Amino acid sequence: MSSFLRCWWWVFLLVAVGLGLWRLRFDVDVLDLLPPDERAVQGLKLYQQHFTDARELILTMRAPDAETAERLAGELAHFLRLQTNLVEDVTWQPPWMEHPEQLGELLGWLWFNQAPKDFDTLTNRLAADHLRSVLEQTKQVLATSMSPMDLARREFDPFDLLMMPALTNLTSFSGGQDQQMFASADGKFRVLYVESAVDLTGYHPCEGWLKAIRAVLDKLKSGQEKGAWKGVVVRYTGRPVFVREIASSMQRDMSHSVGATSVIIALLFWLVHRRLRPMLWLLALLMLIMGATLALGGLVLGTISVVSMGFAAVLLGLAVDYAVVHYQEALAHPQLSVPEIRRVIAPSILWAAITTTSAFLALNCSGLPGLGQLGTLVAIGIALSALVMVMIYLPPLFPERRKPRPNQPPLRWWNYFVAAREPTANESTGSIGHSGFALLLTGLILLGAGAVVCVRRPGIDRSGNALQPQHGEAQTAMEEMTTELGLPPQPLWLIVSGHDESEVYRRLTNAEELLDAAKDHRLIGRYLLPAALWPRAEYQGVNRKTAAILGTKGPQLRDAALAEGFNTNALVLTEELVRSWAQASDSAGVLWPTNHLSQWLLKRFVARTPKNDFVMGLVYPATHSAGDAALTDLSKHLAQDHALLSGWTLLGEATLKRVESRMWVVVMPMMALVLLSLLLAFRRAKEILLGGAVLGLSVICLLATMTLAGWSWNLMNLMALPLILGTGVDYTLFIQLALRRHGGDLAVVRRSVGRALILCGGTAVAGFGSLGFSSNPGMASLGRVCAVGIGANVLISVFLLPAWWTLYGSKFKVQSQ
Amino acid sequence: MLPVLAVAVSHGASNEAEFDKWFAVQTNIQSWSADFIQTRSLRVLVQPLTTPGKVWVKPDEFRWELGQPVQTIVLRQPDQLLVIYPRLKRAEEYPLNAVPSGPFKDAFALLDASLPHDRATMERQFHLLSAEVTNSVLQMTLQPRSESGRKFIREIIIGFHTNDFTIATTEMRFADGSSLRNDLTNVVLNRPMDAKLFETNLPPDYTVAEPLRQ
Repeated sequence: MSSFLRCWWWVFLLVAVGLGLWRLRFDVDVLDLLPPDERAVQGLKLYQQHFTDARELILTMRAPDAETAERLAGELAHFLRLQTNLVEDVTWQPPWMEHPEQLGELLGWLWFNQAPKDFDTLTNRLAADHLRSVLEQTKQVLATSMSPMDLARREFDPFDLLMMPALTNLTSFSGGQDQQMFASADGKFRVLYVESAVDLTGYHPCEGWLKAIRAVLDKLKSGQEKGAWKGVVVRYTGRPVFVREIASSMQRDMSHSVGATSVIIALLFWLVHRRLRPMLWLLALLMLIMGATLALGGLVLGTISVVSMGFAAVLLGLAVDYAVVHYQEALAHPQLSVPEIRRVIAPSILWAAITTTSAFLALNCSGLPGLGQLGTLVAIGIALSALVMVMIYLPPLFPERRKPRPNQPPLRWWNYFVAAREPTANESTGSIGHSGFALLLTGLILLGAGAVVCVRRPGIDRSGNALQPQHGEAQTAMEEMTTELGLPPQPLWLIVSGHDESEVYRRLTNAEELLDAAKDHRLIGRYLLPAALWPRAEYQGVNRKTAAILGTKGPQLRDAALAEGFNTNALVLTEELVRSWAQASDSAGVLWPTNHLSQWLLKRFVARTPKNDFVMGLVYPATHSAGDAALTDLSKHLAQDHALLSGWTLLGEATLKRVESRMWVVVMPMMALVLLSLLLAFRRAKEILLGGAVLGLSVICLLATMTLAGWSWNLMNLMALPLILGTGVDYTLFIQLALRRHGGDLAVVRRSVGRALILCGGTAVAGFGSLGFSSNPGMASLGRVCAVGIGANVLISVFLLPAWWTLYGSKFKVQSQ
Repeated sequence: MLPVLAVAVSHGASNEAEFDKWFAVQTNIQSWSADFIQTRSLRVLVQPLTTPGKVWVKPDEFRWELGQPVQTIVLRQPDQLLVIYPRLKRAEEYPLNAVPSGPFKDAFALLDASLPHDRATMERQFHLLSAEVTNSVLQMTLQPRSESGRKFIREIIIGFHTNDFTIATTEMRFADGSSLRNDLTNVVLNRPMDAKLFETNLPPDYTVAEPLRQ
């Protein structure tokens, strides 16, 4: 290759890196890890997008007693409301307790949505000659009822206008949430909903805003009421806290795992070689490769999920192998020039890189886009590492050996791929004593691990736990809130969408029919759908005329109530209702309520965009249901009419099914590729079989370890299998090619490649192992399983494989003689 | 000044003694019944609403009937409070062990304690704010000790005749300014009562609701 072309390769790479950096974006949404065409994922995304307020922070407060909790919650709300640059609003008790008059608009709207025949009855009920009897009836109730609800209601509703079908549903839909949303039964636990005054779409605004809110709270806690706050625990949750936690845990994961892996690499390298310059040069190249990989990843993928950032540690652990093998070979053969070493070692590196790259690229077929991204990033990094380490690592370390020797044959491009044919005459020169021990060890491992696997194998976790964020403050506070407020844990969300109100209503009623049937079959326990609250365009159209009549009733109702001994306090709600009807009669199109209270209530289950309307219901699976498969079936039927049933439990089952179904699509080609690379590298049945045996024994060891450690397979770590196959094959390649090169001299092989592979294996295990500390449980389990599998692989390759190779080689020779 | 203070102190002390005597009499009462007029003063009405009724009380149980004909029956049984609306064929059950802690429970406790059997029980729930005698009726004004209880009921007033220590009035003053007062007459002590008075026996066509479990 001419120096001109070589130069342009690097320029091309630099331009690509620059473009990639410009295009690179990060995505903190864990759901983007999951297949976008999965119904449960679509439902969860809609839920997060439209029903978890991106600007709503939830503060929970636990105090020693109910009085303190209520007082301090009120004070905190008041104090936060004063921070108008930070906070738009704080809701710490049912909004209708602070602004009961605002209920009028919502109730008037609910009446306006009733069937015309029901709405028409109001004109009779409020006819001038009926008013007196209605009011007398109210006074009778007020004089004799012992129901606190009746008394509270009728005092402010003398004309009994709150008596309508929709209101029963409203009460049940809010799940008694009037007070339940804000305080525990014993009153010691309170919840405040804080609406931000600033946009919180990104990580940095969330971080800054939460910091400012914490400062406000600290100021209040250290103020005059300092003593009262003693023993009071305040926690933060809600979407802004989750966004900040996910993003910061990504930063932590990245810095910790990359830092830890780099330290381990440096340490192992130092222990093996005790040379500073090659170690520092190696670390510098690794950092360069990591940065370039991220940039090229940005170029290929555009937006990168933060969870995929675990690639960095894995890449470090794997990329270092190529440099170490190279360096070890250079030390073992001081007579060889750098191009000669390249000639000797490049085929092993390139085939190893191809299999590893393929294994990681195969993750794109896993059905999990996040895992696919991780695979693509590692694959890019491995390819880049192979290139960089083969071409750049050695020359600065051995400047005197840079030039080819004069009698050296020229290096052709295919020399990088085809291993030199070495003499095989003295293949079986290994120590028989050592081989015997290694074979005994092989038998013991096979027996021990096999026995464990025969008795019990790791189970499969079908839940969505592997996808859920690990326990941070936000999750802890959310769980505490669910328990304290007595909310049902893990309901399923049903999200119905449509282009307009009529379409949504039709789909809502269809969904209701399916849910009724599911309830009858005890597949679900109960469900709450706000169908009765959804605006009916056709009813509103007819009701406008009646609303116009009712809208003029204000003075008449007022006079009648005053004449019956009521005072003006009793008429606030009635007058608001009448006003809302007057406004409804003048409205055009589908009418929605607009005041603060209505908005606050409706946003819990209604979302509207310029193109679509969404409504959310809750579905509670039966305690002893027919299982997740039946729920998945229900979800399929519901989805046929744009009603998406979703929840973490459903998501886990659906995604695992998808991963399981694709498992063979990933593993079979992977096995074929491994075989092909073994075939191309060795072109001998013996070595191919031995390579397969190493992989097989590693998998048995992995299964035994998982069983003993109590780990189970989940939808993320299942993909460790192709990774272990793809990366594990490298070690058998390196060892067997070295055995061949050195004529089966175990001592030389161990000193050169064996030593290097222990170092490589150690770094790979460190890389995957540090992923095991990821804040994402799925990624962490993937890291742990890979670390064990690859650890087993490298140990078997270095300590047992040479003995097998020697023994098999002798037999082979005896048979062939 | 000093004589006035001395009179006030001695007057207060005598009211305390009368109050103790009333409690002493309560220990000898196994049951009592009475007629009453209930007066509800509500902040949305210019005039208070009055309703006649009857009450039967024995330890841990009572029956209040409100209205003539009866509109509401409140039945306190050992384990529940039942409110029956015969005209509406409706009943509400409040299981006393299912009342969640918090203001609701406090309010229930206050209602129970408003007909106290002994002073110690009463003082666990209330402060004695004042005592005064009017027309041979000693009125004791009590304030709930718990803040959450005071959110519902600001004060409870118990009045009894100083001559025979029979109960004369009970009144609850609510935090919103409204009040509920019972003026009792024809008080009969320790007369055998029909056990059926304290039994539920709801007709099958009644709708029964449990508001606390909704």
